[in-house]
Amino acid sequence: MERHILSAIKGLWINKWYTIMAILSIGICFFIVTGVFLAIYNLEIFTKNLSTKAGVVIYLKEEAPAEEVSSFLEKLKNSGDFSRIQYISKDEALKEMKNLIDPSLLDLIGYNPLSDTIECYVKDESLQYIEQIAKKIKTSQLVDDVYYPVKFISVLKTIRITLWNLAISIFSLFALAVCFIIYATVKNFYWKKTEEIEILKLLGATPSYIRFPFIIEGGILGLAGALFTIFFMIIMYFILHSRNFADFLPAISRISFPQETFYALPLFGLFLGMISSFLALGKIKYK
Amino acid sequence: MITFTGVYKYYDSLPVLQNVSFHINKGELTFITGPSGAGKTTLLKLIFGGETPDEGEIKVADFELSNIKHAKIPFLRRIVTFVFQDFRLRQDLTVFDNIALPLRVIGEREKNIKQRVLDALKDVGLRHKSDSIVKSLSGGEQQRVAIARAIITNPQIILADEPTGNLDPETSSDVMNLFKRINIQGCTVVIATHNPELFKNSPYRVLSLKEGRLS
Repeated sequence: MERHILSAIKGLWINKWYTIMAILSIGICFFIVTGVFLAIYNLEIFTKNLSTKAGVVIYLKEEAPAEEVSSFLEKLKNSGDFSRIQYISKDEALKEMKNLIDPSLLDLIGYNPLSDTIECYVKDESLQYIEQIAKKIKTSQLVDDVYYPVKFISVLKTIRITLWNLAISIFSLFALAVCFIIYATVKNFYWKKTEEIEILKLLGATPSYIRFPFIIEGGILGLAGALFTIFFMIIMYFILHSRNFADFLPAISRISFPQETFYALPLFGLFLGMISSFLALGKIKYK
Repeated sequence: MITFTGVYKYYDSLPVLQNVSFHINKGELTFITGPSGAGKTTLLKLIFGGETPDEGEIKVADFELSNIKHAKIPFLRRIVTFVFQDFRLRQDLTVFDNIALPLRVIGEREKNIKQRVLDALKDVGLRHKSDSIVKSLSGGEQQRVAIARAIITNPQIILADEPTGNLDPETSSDVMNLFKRINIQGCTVVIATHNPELFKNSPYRVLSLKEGRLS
């Protein structure tokens, strides 16, 4: 193994300009991929935070019996779609309303016009099914009407789907670009060593012995490209979270950088590099 | 050790070897002779797994070469080594590193390699050139390095294709004596040459090829 690693490092050093160009190109691709990942990650956090605010309000019928309402509440709790459920009686609601508007206006009406309600806070994972959930609730005989933020949810859903599709496309495209860069670079290194490889074949070297240094070279290229990206991500993190920037653009400074990126990306680079090199070498022929 | 049975080989439908059958015993030194284009190199390549026969059977040690798989060829080449007319040495490496290469390929430990390479260099009379870069050596010296590289793994068979083709008569004689010494140690040696001087008045077996046929 030590021989193969040394041989790979030597190979990269001999072709140092190709190596530098490949690492820079891979780094740029990974930088774009990571940027898209961060956008998606932060959007997910944003959506999650919103979901605790977005709720379904169930208006119960006037004549709904108390026992049936409590069993309905139990049913809602057990559905697993909501993070919090709160029953508000019409009297409580009126009391609340008196705090908001002039109580004499309500006295003019002469009766309590409000309904008993249930406020349900939708779980993040159920947010995309809010429409179906609301429809299902509406079928209950106890329910007079159901309110949920249709437009807001549908816009959020569209943004999420569009961004995910965009992210998947960009990720696939740039991952493919990284594969191609490593493939072409390693193939070039391989052609430069044709004579050396032919001699190794004559001396009884197995295909894995011949492939190993090139696979390590590809792995190093992928890893170095990923580390290059990480380096710039760290710089970006400190710039965005610096006090000056936070004062200037407070929303941007709230962008989260998941720590997993800092070890997942190098591993991904290493894996992609090795796979691309393996593909670049193809079958080692002896005849 | 080496058995050819009714072997045919064609290049672009032109026959290079036709109905070649022979057997070489273990520990034999055999010359394969014939004019240029007679099929000597093709015959050696067939023994080395560099080519496959179009018809017939070839058996080398425990290997059946008629339909040998790519994955098995490296292991064949660890018991059958080749000395080329053009040496096929790494010109950028030292003599030591060139000879050490087959040992590194088979995964020999670095601490064992040094002694074995120095012993091989002593056998070919080049111990003092251990650290020299190959391209600084003369043709005769390079050929001896190639022979040292071929014997370093103690192979069962050594094939040599025109090993003296680029050498002067005196150096040729040294190289031939080297092959004879290797053969005395029990190694099967097959030398392809068009130079009859190499085997004139020698007790060794000669296989003559003419237009792809053994005569």
